[in-house]
Amino acid sequence: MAAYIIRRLLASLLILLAASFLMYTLVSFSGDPLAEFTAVTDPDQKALLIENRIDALGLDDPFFVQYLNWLGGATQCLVPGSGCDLGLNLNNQPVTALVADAFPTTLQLVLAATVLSIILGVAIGIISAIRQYSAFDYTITFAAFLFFSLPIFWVAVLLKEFGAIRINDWLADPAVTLPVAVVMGGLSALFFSAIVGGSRRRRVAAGLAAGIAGVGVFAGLVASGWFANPGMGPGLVSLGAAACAVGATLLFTNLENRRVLATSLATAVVGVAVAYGAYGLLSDPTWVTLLALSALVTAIGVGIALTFGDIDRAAAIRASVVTSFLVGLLVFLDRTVSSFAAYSDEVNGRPIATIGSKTPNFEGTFWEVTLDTATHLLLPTLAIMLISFAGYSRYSRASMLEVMNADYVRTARAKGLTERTVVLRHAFRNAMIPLATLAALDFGAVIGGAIITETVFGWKGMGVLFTSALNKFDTNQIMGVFIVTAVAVLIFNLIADISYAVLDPRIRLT
Amino acid sequence: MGSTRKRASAWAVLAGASLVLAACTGGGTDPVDPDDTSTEPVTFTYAYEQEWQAYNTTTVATNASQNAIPMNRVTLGFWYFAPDGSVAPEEVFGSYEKVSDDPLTIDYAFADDAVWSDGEPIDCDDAWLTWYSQSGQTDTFKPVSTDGYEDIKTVECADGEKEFSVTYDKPYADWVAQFGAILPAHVVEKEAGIDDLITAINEDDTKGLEAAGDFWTKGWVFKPGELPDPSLVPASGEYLLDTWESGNSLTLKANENFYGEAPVADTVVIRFIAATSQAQALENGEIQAMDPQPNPDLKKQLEALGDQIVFASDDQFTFEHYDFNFDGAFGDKALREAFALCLPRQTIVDNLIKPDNPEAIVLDSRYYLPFQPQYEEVAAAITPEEYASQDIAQAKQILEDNNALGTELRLGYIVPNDRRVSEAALIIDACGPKGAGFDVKDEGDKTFFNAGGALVTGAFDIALFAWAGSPLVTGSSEIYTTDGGSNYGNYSNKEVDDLTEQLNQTSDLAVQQDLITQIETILWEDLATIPAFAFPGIVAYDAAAEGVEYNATQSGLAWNMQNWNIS
Amino acid sequence: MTSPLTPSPTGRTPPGMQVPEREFTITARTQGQMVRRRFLRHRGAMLGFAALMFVVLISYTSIGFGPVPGWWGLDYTSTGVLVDEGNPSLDVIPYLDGDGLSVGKHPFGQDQIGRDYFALTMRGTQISLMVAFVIGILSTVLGTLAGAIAGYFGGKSEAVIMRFTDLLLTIPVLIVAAVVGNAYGESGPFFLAVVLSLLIWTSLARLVRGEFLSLREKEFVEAARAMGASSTRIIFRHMLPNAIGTIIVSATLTIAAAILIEAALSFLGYGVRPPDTSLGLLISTYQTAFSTRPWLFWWPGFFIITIALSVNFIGDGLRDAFDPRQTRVRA
Repeated sequence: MAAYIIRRLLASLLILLAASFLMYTLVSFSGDPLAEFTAVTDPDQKALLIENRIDALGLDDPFFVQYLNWLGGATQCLVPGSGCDLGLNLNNQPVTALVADAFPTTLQLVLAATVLSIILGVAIGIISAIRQYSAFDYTITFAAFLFFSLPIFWVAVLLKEFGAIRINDWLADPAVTLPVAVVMGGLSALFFSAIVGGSRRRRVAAGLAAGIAGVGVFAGLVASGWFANPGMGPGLVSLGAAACAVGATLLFTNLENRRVLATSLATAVVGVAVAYGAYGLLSDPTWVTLLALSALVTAIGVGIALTFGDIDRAAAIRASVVTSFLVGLLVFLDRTVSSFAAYSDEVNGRPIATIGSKTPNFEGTFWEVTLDTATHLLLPTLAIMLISFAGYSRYSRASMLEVMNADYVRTARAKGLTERTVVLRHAFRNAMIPLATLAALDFGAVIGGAIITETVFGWKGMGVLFTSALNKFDTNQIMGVFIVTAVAVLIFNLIADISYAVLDPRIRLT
Repeated sequence: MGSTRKRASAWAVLAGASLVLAACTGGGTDPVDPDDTSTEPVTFTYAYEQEWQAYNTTTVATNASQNAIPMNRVTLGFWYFAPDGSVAPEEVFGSYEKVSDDPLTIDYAFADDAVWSDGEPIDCDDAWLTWYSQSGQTDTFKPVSTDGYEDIKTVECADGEKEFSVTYDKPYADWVAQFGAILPAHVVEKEAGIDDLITAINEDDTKGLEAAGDFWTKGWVFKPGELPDPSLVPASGEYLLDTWESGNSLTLKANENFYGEAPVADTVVIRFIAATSQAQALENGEIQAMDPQPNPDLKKQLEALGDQIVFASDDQFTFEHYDFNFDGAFGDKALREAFALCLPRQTIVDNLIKPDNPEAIVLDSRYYLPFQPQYEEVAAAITPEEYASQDIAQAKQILEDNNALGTELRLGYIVPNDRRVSEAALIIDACGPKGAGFDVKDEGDKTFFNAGGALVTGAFDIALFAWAGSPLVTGSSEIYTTDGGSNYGNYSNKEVDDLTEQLNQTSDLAVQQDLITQIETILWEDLATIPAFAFPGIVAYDAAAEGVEYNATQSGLAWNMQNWNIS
Repeated sequence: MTSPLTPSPTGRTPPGMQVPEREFTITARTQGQMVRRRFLRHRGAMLGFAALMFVVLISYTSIGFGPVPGWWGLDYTSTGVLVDEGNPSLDVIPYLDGDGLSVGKHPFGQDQIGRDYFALTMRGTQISLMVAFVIGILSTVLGTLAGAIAGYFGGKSEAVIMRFTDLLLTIPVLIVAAVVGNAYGESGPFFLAVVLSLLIWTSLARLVRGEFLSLREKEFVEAARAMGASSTRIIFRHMLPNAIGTIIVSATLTIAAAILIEAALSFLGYGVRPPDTSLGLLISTYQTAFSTRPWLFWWPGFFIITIALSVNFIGDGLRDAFDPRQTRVRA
């Protein structure tokens, strides 16, 4: 394996070299960096401009010399400590700094969206494979295809109008109007009738009940002013924590295993206790405080599991770790949402943003800053998710269907294993093989490929850097972005190949 | 499976119930601090399409609106573009007057109390830097243009003096628009390690000046989001650079050392937002004012927002025109006439410009735009009656008479550009086979302006593009003169050449208007080019915003940001 | 798991229903017959197929193609006088205002220079369909072949092919589109589609290789090899049918994605060039018209979604139909 990785890394270097040369050639064919001066009326000035640019870019040099000059600077990036010189762009800004600035922006934008769409897409894909040709399957299939068919800039326009402006208007004065009631009730009805399954009558009944209940709950929330000051409160947080413990237990064993259930629940209790015990500490924490607190809860949870786990120790430890993670997430969400009123006030009562990555010069507590990032991330993340989640759900459904028909799954069923064990332990793992490739490739590609999302939502990431450079024929800037995205693609390709071998032991990497 | 479903339903009900419960307890939030109602400092947010990058906007690499717009009230000069496009003196900064025509001599005086935000007085060495850096005497300074400054013989003043006198080698028509955006010489001196710039120039200190030129050209360009120490970028205007969030915004704060009236808004934030996204950002309260390049739907979109926002439309200082290629078929005047007759100028204005600017008219002058005071008089004097309205039948008749039906006509322009694509479609309908009878070819191309592109190589019959106008007359001198650098159609008329030569050396506005009337009369007679329309401009701002005023020039809305306020 | 011998009482006859026949009677059916039967019984696929055929027919017959004239009187380049400010004359919901169904002169309205928007939309549909299918088919063929060879043979050929796909994966589509636009602006959308498919076959190649890596270790491949089947036969008769699910899903997603790639390129100014048009170009041109002249925004969007949706449903049906192991899993 180690030899394989080293060989692949060396090959990647060669690919990078070949690709950079190919790219440099393409860029030189893509346009003329002197074109923008055509419209200059004064010939002296024009000559001056052109001469300056020829000097700056070394356009007088033969093509190979230009490429080698660039390559000379770029190879320094591979040697740590020797500085990294990707040249200056047409505005004399160092490309290295531009790229270093844009990369985290893009990462922030695509990371959450990609992870969420993988989780959601895989989960929904698997459920619809298990319930092939059910109403749920048809609904999801239709929705996935629909989302997959939407141009992202088309969605963006709609999201800004209905996801930000209208919602902000509504939040300013929450009221249960007819359209709001219809939408909320309809969503609730759809969701629950899909989950319930069974005969049509049963589904319709469940849908109706859920629709009415949904509108009721919603009206209750509006009437109590919840939207002006949202949050879960200790009661609901505790309840949620308990649900997390049960879920974590189910993941590794079953509810009949009281020992594991008890340790998970104990971890959840510890988590909630710490969250409220350290209430003051959490009013404006730093990431360090948060990490320390969650490490503390995890450690206590593992301790409990070690002490009382007995023969189920391994499962108990896993369940405790997962529980503490989930409870931490829950508390984090609760605290963030709870700062909504204060945040909304600071941004003139229009919390959901249509543009940019943050409110300019925003200052506030840790939670308010987090919320500021979240409200700016909301629309672009939704836009990316709608589209890539659809792809994941289709692939995982297809993959899962194939696996569910395989002999070893039939064998597993014949052995009398529970359906959950069959699906999670036997089928799921093998169904993930093609998906691992897809996810890795996708992530590598999206780092350079979130161009449209970045453009329409005003995030200055790699994509925007690339297109703006392409429009001006800014060779150094194009190459700077290219080299980073190419490295990302190559690394994630390698990860995809390694994950093959990890997930399917029959595959030999040679 | 059945039992799972029951369990799921039970959970759902439980979850619903507890949501209501939580609602009754009102969630677990900290109490919100009551608003401090004492006079809150005003923060005004303005959207611009591109990101700011550099403090010095006069270098070859940084001369762009994206840099100049935020700097409008940061680095002042002796003049600014007024809303009607005229050059107005910046009285708070200083004053200037012409004392002699031959040789052209101008006396300048900085205001006595004018200081940089770091306390350093604005004086003689700053004037020397402005002149020397753009005079083209040295290679180390890389200015965007040396126009005017290269003709300056001397700048007379001694270090520390507030007054200086400028003498030109030859008359320069646009002397009023010299010495704008003065930069701090003391910063250059410090960064270049020279004691005194004036001495260095006088003694020809090559090494020192090289360092100065290098800093002047590259030292005021910054890494994204990294503003340097304030001492490196002092302000001479109402605002100074405060923070720069890369890709997001540039924040300007009131300059406490400003020697004039303090600005109204304490903080001005310039957010970098693409033109198509600005209207929704304004609607959502994320910005308070904008003046993007309008699309045909912008006005209606803003109208639909009702009282929430205020908007106005007008002309911009940029105009579209159609240029004939005299080396091709249009060397024949009859064909030019035919084209001028079939050209649907009114339809183009009605369909493409009026949706944004209902006041838009067909443009007849190439020197003055409709919002300028001289326009009406000049336009009336120069425009021949026969081209006032479209006459396809007459155009067809001319083509038939000249046996020129089916003459190939290549329409060249740059893409992507939605408006020109539409113009081309309208021209094809009116002048093509269905209309006057040219064989019109739509040759919109991405490489149109390239070194080997159609415009430069002359691979066009009609070129559609725009010139950025300005009240400065020297800007147009190379467009209509024989072998002029911007005379892509190779039009040539000796009379126009002579008149243009005179115009370039005339600074009297009335004489300028007279010369321009003569030039344009000939241009219309010869059908050298056909002007079409001024670009429409739209400004929109929050109904609560005050002091926002349209400006047709490249300064845009930001020209008077010191007056912006939110009520 | 029980296999009902008669169609279920709800009347739904999903594919795979002939399982008992296969198991208990000896009706000889070729693979092709079975695929066709299953496909024809897939309701989503048939609906998608009908919708796609409708879109293809209406777009090619209405304004004609090349020298062939169409039945719609107006062409997509003619400008004209704005009728009713360019508003569409077609009621989206007929009879609501008592007018009944009337198509009118400009059912989809007009753009700001009076071109008939129905004709423009139809032209855009033609171009988008062409681009999507060229990319979809070409890149699927290329990707499948390369992936199959790499996955089956392994060793040197795998290394070469996979490193080559790595190389292509690093090259941004946008730069290629920019170069193609500059160099071959005239040869139009077809050339763009061909070049794009030369770039984007790589992801399918990787997927197919992954499948083949796993398949070549399977017993039935082992068996075929032991019986002396040729490599070509093993790849095309034994392994490919087992990978067809992945390939078909990917191909349909690629066709749907190709429409969107073209739209994205047009949005950024590197796609189809005016005066020709495509659905993507129409939407990106009129994205700002969303609230003021909504028909300019919704109609091309409606056709993009219809095409992509139909293609996806057809792919879904094909996947089910081709899958040799397909039995219905009841949950």
